[in-house]
Amino acid sequence: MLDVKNLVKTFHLDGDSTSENDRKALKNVSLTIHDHDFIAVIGGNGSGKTTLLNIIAGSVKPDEGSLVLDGEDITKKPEWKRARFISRVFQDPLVGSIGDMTLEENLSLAARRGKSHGLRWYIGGEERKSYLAMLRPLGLNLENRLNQRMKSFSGGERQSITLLMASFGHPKLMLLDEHTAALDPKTAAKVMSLTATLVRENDVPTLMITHNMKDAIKYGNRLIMMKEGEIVYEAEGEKKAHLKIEDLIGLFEEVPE
Amino acid sequence: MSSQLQALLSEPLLLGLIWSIFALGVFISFRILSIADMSVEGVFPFAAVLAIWALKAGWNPFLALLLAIGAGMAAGALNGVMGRYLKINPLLAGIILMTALFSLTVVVSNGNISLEDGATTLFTPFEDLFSGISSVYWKNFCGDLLLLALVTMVLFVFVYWFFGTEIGAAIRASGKNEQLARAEGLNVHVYILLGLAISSGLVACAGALYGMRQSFATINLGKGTLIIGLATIFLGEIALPKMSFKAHLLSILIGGYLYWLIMSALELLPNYNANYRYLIQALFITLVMLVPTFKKNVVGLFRKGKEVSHA
Repeated sequence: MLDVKNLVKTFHLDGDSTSENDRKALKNVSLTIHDHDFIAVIGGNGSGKTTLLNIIAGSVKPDEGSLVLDGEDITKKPEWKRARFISRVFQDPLVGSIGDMTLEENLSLAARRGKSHGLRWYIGGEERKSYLAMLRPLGLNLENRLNQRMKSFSGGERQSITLLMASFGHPKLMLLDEHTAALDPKTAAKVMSLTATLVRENDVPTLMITHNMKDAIKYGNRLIMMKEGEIVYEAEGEKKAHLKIEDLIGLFEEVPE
Repeated sequence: MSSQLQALLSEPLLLGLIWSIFALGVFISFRILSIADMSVEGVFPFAAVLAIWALKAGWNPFLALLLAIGAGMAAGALNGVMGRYLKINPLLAGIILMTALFSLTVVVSNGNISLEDGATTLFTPFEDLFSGISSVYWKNFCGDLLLLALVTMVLFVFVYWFFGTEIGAAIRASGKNEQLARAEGLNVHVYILLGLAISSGLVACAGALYGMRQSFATINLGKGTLIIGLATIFLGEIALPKMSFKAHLLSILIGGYLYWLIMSALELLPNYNANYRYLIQALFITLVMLVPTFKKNVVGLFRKGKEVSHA
């Protein structure tokens, strides 16, 4: 369970704290992510949803507020130390894996997330077998391509592999940052359904930012709408399942500035 | 055999090996960490001067080599501290370090430093192995070649092994995609620092061997060396394109030999003027760097519909 309390973040675009160009990315955001939650976050550009995700991941530091993961205060933990508990899929398929490394090297990287690295030879035979078993259910015929560099894979393949990587090692939270936005609609739909399968099968608490309202309604048990650095609407369970896109658009325009 | 031909047959092999070690260091910073590390131009002469200084002070030649490598690794680590922890632009950090090392080099060498004739270096025992060869030139050549081949082999095997380990893979990941490396729990600063230390250690090893072989060293030794290292890497990549890590390393050895073969051949031209050496080096690397573009654009025209892939 992650407890996000009273996050405040202002970006000082001129490097000057009194400037008029300050952008208040988060005003006062609190959110509790429970163990079986799959939360979809929607909101326009500049609503603060990416900042929220970056603060949870640790790549951005909040000005105020705290993050408590299963009773441990992780507000000051650097990003690389949080990686032991929190995994992440980026929007850009090129960022989520390393193009110059092979598929199996990328998988190994994720399999060792948050663990210590030694002078053992990187990938052993048993490990390779376990990757084959994990790749097969993706149905992408990747099993014969373990030794190919990631840059030879398509965007959809890369994003699917990145998702698989993020599900490794029972993370306490998985962060998805518009991870289908760079894909064509058909591929995006495939990757979305893979997402749902991985979240369900591995029972990973997940926070997913999306621009796709249909996905936000279809997937997950909770929905959060952000605007101007605040959470302006929340729906859960039955209420969420019965939402319509028109409802969300209406809500989106209704919320006072 | 004319002395010119003799040199053309032997020198590119020896220089190729020494500079392959240098280029292996540059390969780690440039190709693995994606940093153009100017500090090598300071590390190389500093290591040469330091090794000769240690020999003159009566050190065992092997320890003198280790001293130089240690100093190089420390410089590389410092470069990492400046670039990562002090957030200085990596290119600038390299230039600052290079400048600082110039002074240290002058201090240790007093301008220039040389060994007395017949002084024992790391090469001596190997040259003595071939005392059966009547020509002193070829006796020394065989000894030098044996030592350099051994050192080069050990270092190349080490680099191949090391970058295949978990730590090595973590360094590769940190150099290629910092954002993901952090998200996968890697302390990127530490890994890049470690990579730079190994890179500069190799550069220093080359510097020490170079200094010992020619028995003297000055600050000028470092000038233009980064270009030599990069040209070696690029030449190798042209000779052996589309490669695995193993082949990529092997290509550095090929590149080293080709570079010095071409440079030695140029020196044989009747109007060769040594004053133009740096200009020639600069022109040469520019030409070498244009080869991939040329291949793509010009050769591509003749292979209609067949895209020249660099993927």
